[in-house]
Amino acid sequence: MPYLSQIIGRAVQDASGDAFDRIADLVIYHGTEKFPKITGILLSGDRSRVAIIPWDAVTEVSAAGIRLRVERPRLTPRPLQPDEVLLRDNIFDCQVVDTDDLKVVRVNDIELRQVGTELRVVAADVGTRSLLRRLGLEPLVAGVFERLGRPLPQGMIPWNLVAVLGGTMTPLKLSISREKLKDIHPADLADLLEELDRDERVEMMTALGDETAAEVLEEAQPDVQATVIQELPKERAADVLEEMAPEEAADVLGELPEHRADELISLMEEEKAEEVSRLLEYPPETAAGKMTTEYIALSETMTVEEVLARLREARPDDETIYYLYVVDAQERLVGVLSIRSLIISAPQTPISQVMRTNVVYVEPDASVPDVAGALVKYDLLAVPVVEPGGRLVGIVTVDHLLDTLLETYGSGKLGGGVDLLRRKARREAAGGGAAGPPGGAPPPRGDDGSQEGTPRRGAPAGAGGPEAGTPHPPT
Amino acid sequence: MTSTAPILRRAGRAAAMSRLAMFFAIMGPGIITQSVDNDAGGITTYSLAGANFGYALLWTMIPVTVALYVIQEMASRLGAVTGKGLADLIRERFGVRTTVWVMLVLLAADFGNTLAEFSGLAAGGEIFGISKYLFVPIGAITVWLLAVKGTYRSTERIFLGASAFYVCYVVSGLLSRPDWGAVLRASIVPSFSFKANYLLMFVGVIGTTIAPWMQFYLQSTVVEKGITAKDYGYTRADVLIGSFMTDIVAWFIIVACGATIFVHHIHVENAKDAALALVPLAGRYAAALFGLGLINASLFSASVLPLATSHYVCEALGFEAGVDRTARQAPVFYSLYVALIVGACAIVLLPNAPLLKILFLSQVANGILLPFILIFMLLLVNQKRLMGAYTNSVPFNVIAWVTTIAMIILTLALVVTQIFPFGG
Repeated sequence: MPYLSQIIGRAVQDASGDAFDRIADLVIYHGTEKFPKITGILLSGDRSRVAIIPWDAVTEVSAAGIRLRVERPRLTPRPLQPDEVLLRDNIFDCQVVDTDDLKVVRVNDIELRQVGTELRVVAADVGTRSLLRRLGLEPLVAGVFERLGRPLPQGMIPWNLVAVLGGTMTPLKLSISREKLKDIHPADLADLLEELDRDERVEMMTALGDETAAEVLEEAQPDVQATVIQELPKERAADVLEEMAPEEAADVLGELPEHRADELISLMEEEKAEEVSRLLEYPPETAAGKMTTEYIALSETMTVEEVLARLREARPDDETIYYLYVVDAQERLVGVLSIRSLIISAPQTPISQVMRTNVVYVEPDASVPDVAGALVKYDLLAVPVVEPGGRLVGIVTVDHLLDTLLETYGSGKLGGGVDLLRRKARREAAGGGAAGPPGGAPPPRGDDGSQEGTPRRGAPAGAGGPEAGTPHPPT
Repeated sequence: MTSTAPILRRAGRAAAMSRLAMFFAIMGPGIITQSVDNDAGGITTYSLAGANFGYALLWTMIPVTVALYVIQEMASRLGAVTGKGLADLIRERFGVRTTVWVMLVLLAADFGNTLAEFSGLAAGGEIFGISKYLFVPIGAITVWLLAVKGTYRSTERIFLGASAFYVCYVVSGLLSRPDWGAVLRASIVPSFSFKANYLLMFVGVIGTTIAPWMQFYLQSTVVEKGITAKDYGYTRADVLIGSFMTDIVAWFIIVACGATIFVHHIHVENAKDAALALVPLAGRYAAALFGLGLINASLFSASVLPLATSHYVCEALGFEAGVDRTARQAPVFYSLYVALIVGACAIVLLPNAPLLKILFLSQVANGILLPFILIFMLLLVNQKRLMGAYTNSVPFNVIAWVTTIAMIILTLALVVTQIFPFGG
């Protein structure tokens, strides 16, 4: 009895040999097992779908059906447990995530394996063959293809690589999904997110930790971002927004109805909330609308040695370390310091002597094409945004701007498939497909070659007050 | 820290937001669906209804509007509450076999519609003296480019603007000086006939107004816009406005054709004849106006329908779909899409293909296939497990079931009268 589609509808006999009912559904315990055991049976006669016959009662599984070890009146049905899943109801015909190929697929059938009286789920079948089997056409069509010398391929996904998102959420189910999703790069999760239905999106986001959820959301399309944030419970949505880079969070909030955005901002921690609402006040299609407030600003009175010590302590993100902006006591931009001059200068040198004072900057209301023009013309990775009074308020990085430009100029299609293949190749190279070590999964971003974990953004080092995140007050 | 400037900017943003809100309030899923619905098949069917039967079918507009609203409201409610498309829901709730049947029905109906769109294109081209052998392939390539290169939103905007054309019918209907007393009487007092042609027209009018694909389309649009059960109230209004708009246009097309073509006993053979209804408005430019309207409506629906249909079928059956995938990644999707377009073009390009007849009969096919879709919608929308507190109310169930059963009876009567014609 290899397939669920063949088991549904089989007869159920009790100990006396009376075939009193048929199988309507099978129950699995959605636990940590890689290939979960069947734990119970739902009978067709049970219209209210509440009484599960425990699998312990089964004595024989055969092509004819299932035989129970007790007589019918002595059966002890039990309700569905919170961590149990109905195979047919919750998984059959529904969408699941293939965590190896990084695709959302529809389950046509479920392969089971029988060992004695024990029955286990081993794979989800998503191939054309299983579709034909359900239609009763498998022998016919498969035969034709075989004669043509091109046998129909199987579309099995081993169960340990399947992440189930449908059904009712329980903490345990979510932790299983989290376990299966954790090796996937946030950018790929964002692609998957777009293919899922509304409830499944919420479930995926709920399964992920705040930090990963935030990274995934940063990578998702604006309309997906907005629907997900709208659908998540308020507190959770605020937590995820807090973890996002402020400019990304502001972009998402800008897509929401105003009252909803205000409500979420009020639930965020004060510092982040202030920053995000300040960003929100700028028109979205300007330099200020695209800028991030996470950058490194140094006081002009510091020495090279002090700066290096500060950097080691703050461990800034890879995108922000390229440019070190120097400000005076009034937070006015006075210069920019390159990593190169920092390294080659004597420790005691004041940075005001080695910084470049001729800094390219844009004003807050500069248009997006103008900002892009400045970045391209001067070959910059980021450009500071300076208010008319000279105060530094943020920077626009090339990668954030690139995302926006791609959205505007419609190349959202760029590189989807190719990218996925490349990432998969990496995953495999990193050691045995999806079973590989977590660190091997994501491709490195940036080129700093740092060995400390995966280079991901959005997580300022050091709890409480990330110094890299706010302009440095004069000391 | 805060200066006055940001507060001012904030005000600017609020104004932009409310304008955006206004835009969405006006262009909701219901209204968009209805605009796609007034396609070449629709214009032709309403024109023929007016040209051949005068005002006799006007009375159907009131019950059809009610049924249209009820059914569309069900579709958008299903989308808002479940967050899933209709094809997905049918697959998840009724399994593979049912899904395959429903998808075959949808494919058949939409092949008919695609056929209608390309016939409309050919007929529109003929008005300007352009050979269909040139015009239809150009149209097909345009449709392909719009689908693959353009975004759906940009396509939508181009054509929606052009669909202001329908206002012409309202004006022309008013200018054609119909006998308003007779028109109003015919709109309220039902009349019926068991003649084969009348039944055919009856099913065609309903089929073109409440088409099977619309339910899939509307539900997907609601899901894509992220509308939930919470903010569903306004979608209901949107659907209501959309239903009224469609049927007011339909009503005026019938009146205009009744007052111009029917009273002069002209037998409509081709698109030029049907264009006579626009003479009161456009005089000798009537044919050109009609031709442009037909071409616009055809192109719009032809660039939306086959693509949408391929999507639904692939998603329900678990094949990869979408124009952002390559043909190698999504072979089934592209095969279906190409088959729909090429197949439709091939039939339209047959020498002497009766374009107007194809246009009309495809709408009859829509009407015949409608009940199959309605039954599944009704079963779904009444599932407590799926819809919770949002299942159908009793009046909705009554109206929807009456529509379904009426369509089945009409279809049966149609079959009987086709086999045993009496009268005629």
